[in-house]
Amino acid sequence: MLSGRRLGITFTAVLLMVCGSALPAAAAPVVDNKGAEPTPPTSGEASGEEISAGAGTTVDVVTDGSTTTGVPFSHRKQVEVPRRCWYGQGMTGYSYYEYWKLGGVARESGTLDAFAAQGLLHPGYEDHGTDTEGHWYDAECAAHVSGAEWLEYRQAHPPVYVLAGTPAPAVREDLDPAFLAEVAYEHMQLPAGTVRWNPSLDGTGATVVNLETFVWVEDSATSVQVTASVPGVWSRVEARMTRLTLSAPNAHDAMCTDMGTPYAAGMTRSDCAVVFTRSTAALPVKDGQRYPTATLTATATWEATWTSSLDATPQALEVQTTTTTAEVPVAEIQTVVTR
Amino acid sequence: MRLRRTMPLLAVLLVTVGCTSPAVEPPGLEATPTATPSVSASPTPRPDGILEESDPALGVVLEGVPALTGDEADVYDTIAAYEKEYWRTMTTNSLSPGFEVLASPELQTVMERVATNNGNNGITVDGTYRVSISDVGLAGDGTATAVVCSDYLGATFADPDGTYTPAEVGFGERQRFVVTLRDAGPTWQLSTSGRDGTC
Repeated sequence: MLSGRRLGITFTAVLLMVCGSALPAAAAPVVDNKGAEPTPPTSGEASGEEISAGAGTTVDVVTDGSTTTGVPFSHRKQVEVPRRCWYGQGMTGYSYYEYWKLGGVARESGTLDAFAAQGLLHPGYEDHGTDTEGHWYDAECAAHVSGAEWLEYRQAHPPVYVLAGTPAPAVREDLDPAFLAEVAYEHMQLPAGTVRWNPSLDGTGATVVNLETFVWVEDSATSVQVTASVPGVWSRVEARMTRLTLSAPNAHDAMCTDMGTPYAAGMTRSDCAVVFTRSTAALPVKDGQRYPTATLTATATWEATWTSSLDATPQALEVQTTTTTAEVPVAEIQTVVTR
Repeated sequence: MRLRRTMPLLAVLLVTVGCTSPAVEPPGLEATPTATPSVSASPTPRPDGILEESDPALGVVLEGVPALTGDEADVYDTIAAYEKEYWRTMTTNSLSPGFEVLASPELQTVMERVATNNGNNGITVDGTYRVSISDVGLAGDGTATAVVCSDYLGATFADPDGTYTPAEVGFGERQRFVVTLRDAGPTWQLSTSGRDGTC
């Protein structure tokens, strides 16, 4: 038994040695490097090739107005936009001093030494040379910001030294009011409204061929005010609907100057009407519909100007459109319809 | 062009001198600093021509240095200084403070990630990094571009499990990068750096 045990131990040892020699070499590590694919973005970071400098700037966008029936509305949303310029936390007082002092690492670089020799280091940086907890805050601008704008921002926002335990300087985002206006206009929240029409036959809601179909958009808006703001600056867009274009298959396009007039008994004329020339009876029934329909598209055109907390002079923005659709059954009847 | 760069600096210096207390050691500081403050009474304008040289102690060799002057030399120098601080970061797994001047916040983020990831994985990089900077071009709108070729064949790579050749860790070819810079008055700064195949 004893001998057997010894043999077994020896065999095991040999086996381990064999197995050990047969093990593959350790896998090469992944060495991260400049130009490598960025890590998957986390919240607030851009995706793809874009590399974020950190969280974006939150813009508050408020849309105020009232519907065509006089009901006021106010929508608020927050929009994340890429940062432009800000105060960023830099090195500790100790690290900054050690790096930039005469004889420090920076001075081994001709470029950085020349930078220092031109008096561009943080004023009074020697005073914080032993502080390992306080930090410098520097003006920083994202890569897409021009050098001229960055320079201007830096001159307006000199470096600040913040001792440990004291609040960091307020983040003064430097957003161009014109950019804020674009954000406001892009994110204005309009009530979609509901497209109505008349004739609207009982039971089917169908209109009829070769007769003016009065159209209006219920509970929509024709003018709004959108304000986009960050602390310290706001831009306000005044937008108004200037025309409504109606289009549908087998109907001539029509254009109105407002959202149309809701039908009322006895009404014989509307500035917002289309005439269908064919019945939809032969068309297939679309998903979600009970009858064959034609899609009626109401496209509202908006014109807008903007002002800002920095400039009260209205400036024009590009025309924008919003679209609302409705599925309209179109019937062909032989009798004369009396509204 | 250099005169244009120097003039705003004088203004900055005057403001700085006017607002800064004399460089007297504050009471209670005993260990450091001991160096003379760097802000001098008269700023030293940058000499013309390329300033950056190879740094054998750091392990950076600048190859094929072109004969440039003016803004092109400034651009070259900024890139060369950036590459040195890049290698310092790679070999120390610690973000170089020089990036605050030389690199956009986005590139600083990249390099901070590189230092953190490599450090967390116990990777050590050493040896010689050869870099050549070419095709320096000024766009005329305050931006510039250039091509950087990074050669790691003289570098060594290791982690707790062993050592590796450059090829084994994906550094076996001369890597080509296209960089863009922006002119912010007294300094140029790298805005972006994108991998563009091999050299």
